[in-house]
Amino acid sequence: MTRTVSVHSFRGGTGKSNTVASLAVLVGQHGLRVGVIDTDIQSPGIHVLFGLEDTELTNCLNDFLWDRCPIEATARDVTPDAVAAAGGTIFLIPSSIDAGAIARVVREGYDIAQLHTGLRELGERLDLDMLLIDTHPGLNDETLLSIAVSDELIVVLRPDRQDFQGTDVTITVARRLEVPALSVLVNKAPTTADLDQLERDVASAYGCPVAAVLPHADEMMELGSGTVFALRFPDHPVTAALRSVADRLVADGDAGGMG
Amino acid sequence: MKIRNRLLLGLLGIVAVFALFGGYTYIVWESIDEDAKRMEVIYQETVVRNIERLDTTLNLALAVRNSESSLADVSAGDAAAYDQVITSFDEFDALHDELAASLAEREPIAAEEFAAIRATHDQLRRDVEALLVSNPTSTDDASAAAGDAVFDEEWMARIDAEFAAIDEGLIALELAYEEQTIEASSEFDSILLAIEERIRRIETVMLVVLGLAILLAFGLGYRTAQSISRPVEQLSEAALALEAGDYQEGALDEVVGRSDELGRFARLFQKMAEEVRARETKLRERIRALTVEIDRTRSNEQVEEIADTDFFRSLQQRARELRAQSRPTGDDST
Repeated sequence: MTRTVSVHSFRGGTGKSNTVASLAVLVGQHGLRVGVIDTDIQSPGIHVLFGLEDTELTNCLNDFLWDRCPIEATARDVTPDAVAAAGGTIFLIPSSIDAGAIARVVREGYDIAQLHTGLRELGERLDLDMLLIDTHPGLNDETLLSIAVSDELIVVLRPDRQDFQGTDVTITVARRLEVPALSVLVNKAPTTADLDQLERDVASAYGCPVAAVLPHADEMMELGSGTVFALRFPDHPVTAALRSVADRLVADGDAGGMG
Repeated sequence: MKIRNRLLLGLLGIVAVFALFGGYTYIVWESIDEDAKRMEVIYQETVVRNIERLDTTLNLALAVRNSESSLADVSAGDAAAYDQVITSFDEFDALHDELAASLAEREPIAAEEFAAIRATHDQLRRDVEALLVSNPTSTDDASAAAGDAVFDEEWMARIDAEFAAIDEGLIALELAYEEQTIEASSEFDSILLAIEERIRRIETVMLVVLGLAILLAFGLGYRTAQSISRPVEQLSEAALALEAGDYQEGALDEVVGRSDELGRFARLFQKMAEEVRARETKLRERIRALTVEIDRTRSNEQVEEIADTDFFRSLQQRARELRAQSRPTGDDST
């Protein structure tokens, strides 16, 4: 039984893709099979973190959506050594970065039902324990779909007025879609702020658990492309916080499977 | 003024006080030295010499005594004693010459008496010689009887008177010497007293100077400590206040005006404190911006916009069905 977790943010630049990549690695280190799907068709990017060159992107999510190949053909094994050593596997389903393909999605759109099918089949055919969906910022149709089919939604936000406001909209919408588990993850919090206070404020504002409050890490800047933060800085406090999020996701998955 | 310079100046002051004291002591010591030399001169020239003179005077008296007793022997018929009389007279003259030479070296004391003694003695000698010449001793004669005739009363009385005059003169001389010695020793005592007085004064001045130097050192030390410790205290209080976040502008006004190192430090500190405060204010503004503010009316409007579509309603429906299917009881669908 695949546990589907959507990671969303109201705006871009929240560090959502980095968070997804790190969570994938940390969950994978539990010895699980993890899928990461980039549904941000209009501005894809997570493949870069797993060291995939743009030229390597042959079969993409776009190809499946336009019925050119089965969903499993778009998946790439990108398991890092540290995850393989723990017996885990990470599959990546990238979106095309081809300008023509992106333009076509914007112009013509695609059958949203096809994405639904893809998400369902992906878990079954690759025998995934967990599927992490890196969504497009904002609340367009494919994001709403991703949220609707998820077992859990994690909303990533930066602590500023716009994100606070946008996150409220996302959370409310997710509640209407009856997502079983909701949490918010505050990213890039200024190190000078009272993080405990911020966590309490956020939790009471949205009435849902706070997955983590991650302080702004300067190391993120020196993190070149082709590297996942949790792999590059396994002992960093941010990694430690993300690891506890991953542990919780795995534990919830186990509980769901048993119940 | 710089703190270092102030301390150096204070030290210089203390050194100057001691140097003045040293100079004073040197001058006083020089005069004491002079007095000591004077005392030595008095001792050598008066005391020692007068003791010698007294000694000689005693010998003179002894020579007179000898000549007197020898003369008595002669008058008793001992002709051989005559030579002894002459020897004693010669002895007297030699001693008198010696003393005269000693006296001539310095101001003569009782010179008249001294000269008178010699004159009397010369007269005595002439009288005795005259007496003995007019009465040549003849040991072979039966002169015992003649003796009485020879030493007639008148001569003898004259000679006795002369002996007595010499004795008197010698006693007067002795008294004069003694008096002078006493005078000298009293002068000696007064010089000694003066020296003691001056040494006591040096001691007093030394005590005063020492006390003054100690007072000065203490005063200087205390003032310097005060003038340093107070601003240092204010600086450390300001630093603590800065750390606690309640540093008041103007807390260091008293210190920044100083022209020394502390003043410079205080000015730097003030500048730094203002920078810290500015940064802190900015930071606080940023932290304040973290307050979670949500406009529920607006977000509800946005939610309605999204939710009020057929797509959303069908999505809602499908999601509900999907979740119903994936529940463990109805797992095996599709």
